[in-house]
Amino acid sequence: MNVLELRDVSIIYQNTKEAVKHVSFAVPEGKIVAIVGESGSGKSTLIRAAIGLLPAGGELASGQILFGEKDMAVMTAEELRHVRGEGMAMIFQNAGDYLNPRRKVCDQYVETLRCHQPMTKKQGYEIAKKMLATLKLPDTKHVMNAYPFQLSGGMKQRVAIAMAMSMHPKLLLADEPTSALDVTVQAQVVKQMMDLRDKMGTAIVIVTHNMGVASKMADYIAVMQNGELKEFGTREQVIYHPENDYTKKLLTVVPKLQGETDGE
Amino acid sequence: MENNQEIIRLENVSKTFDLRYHKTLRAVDDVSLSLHKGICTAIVGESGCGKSTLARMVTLLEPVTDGMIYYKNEPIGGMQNGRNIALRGEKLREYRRNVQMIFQDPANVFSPRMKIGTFLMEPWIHYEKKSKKEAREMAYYSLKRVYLGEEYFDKYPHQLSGGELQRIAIARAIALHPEVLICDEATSALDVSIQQEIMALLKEHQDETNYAILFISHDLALVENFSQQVVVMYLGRIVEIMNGAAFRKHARHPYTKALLGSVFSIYDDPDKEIYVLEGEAQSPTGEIKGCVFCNRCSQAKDICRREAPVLKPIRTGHQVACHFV
Repeated sequence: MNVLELRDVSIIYQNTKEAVKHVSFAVPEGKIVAIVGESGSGKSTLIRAAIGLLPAGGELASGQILFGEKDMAVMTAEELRHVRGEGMAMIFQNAGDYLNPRRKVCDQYVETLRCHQPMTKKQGYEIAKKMLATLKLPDTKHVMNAYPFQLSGGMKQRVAIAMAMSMHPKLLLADEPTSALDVTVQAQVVKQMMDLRDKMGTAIVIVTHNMGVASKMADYIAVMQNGELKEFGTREQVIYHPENDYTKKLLTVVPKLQGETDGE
Repeated sequence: MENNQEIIRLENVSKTFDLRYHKTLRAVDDVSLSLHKGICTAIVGESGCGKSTLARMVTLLEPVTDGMIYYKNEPIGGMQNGRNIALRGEKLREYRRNVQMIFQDPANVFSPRMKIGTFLMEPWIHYEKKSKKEAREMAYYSLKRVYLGEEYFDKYPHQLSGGELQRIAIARAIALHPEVLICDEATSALDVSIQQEIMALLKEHQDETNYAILFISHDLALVENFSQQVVVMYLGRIVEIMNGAAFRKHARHPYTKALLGSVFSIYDDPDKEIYVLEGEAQSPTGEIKGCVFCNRCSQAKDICRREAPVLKPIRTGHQVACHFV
């Protein structure tokens, strides 16, 4: 079954520029789909539309976005509130900026949980602590009692992922979750997202411009350029047998380490 | 001038910043390094390892706390006999002419109210004392060198894309044929296809005028394809210096290996176990005893926590700071 399905989606901004043009693809349950493309290709717009958080002026011009069986466009605000958080969750590029700088991590974490599921603060605290431990954050107690500025970028990103994952959503949307991070931290975050998929069966849509990350994580890869979906296929198909010229170009311009192709 | 001539030499350069409550932060610690004509030296490392501070010291934007920087064997900035010396006045102007810098985000480099043409005319008017008319001709020529048409002369920065702006930043930097070009993450804000064009441009002009490049980056694959010498930094110290080619095979320091292990490449087997470096880097404030990497290193022994390893040569052009190499 498909968790998310996009049918002929077009998105227009107020300046009448079409940011996304007639894009259709589906995300099967428990699979990872990577959307790759360069800046301005509409990949972030697409993923924001999927959770119903288009920036001001953005509008779904045509097509349908189906979550499970339901059309997102006809949902009431209350239904949407339930879908977000429990059904699907999102991680942004600078997740640290989305944490409230004046409140401790534990307070905002527990509040987020209690918004969606009935529980006491104590229960929420326990769940949060367990989730942070799953994400291999060192010294969870310290992290819980810290203010966001006391944590490093990688730690904040992992806190955000933990928050997003602790409601066990069916679908996780990640908008460039690793591009602000160093390579070693990126490796940690990628590994943990893949572990979560394996353990909880969450489907993930990850937007990235890093072909390496896309190739590592994804089961399916979608290539976008200028708002159009250029190619969509399984990882093997897109990486080893690209059909579209733009995909081929994208693959050749990525700098490669020597001794990479022959497996060290 | 012949190739391989030494242009800039850093000797035991350190930089500490004073923080509140009498704490200090060691951004760069005891770094020795030299830049040669026609050679691209790359510095790689994670954020906070001091690579940008190092670049700012070489361009004399930041005073040196300890050690000395030499330009063609002349001391230009650092500590001498307990006194901080740095170039000033006309000499500093002359130095700036020869050492140019390209920054990470081209959008922040340009004044939004200045036309591209004015921006490109400036070096000629300020340094070569050209008339406006001549400078205009030179600006057209500069545009041509980076494959942009003359119509860009009358445009404003906001009308251009990041890649085009970066080209113009390069055009201005290389206008007066500098001897050293310092690129601080010059391509990391750009898309990969544009990154390739920019790198090709830098390479092409390097073949032409033979400037030395100090290339700061965190993209290991890019660095390998582009530079002849690679310097790996961790927490302000150099942990490994090696030749650019095939460094995946030659890397010896555990940190370099960890860095290489965390790069995802397109054609890797997706089922391959991801190598994860445990823990967080030590705090750069206060004194660090022993090896900077010891708290995350899998091979760390007692000696690593007691003594800081020094850089020792293991082959020509390859130095490693590790007790077990």
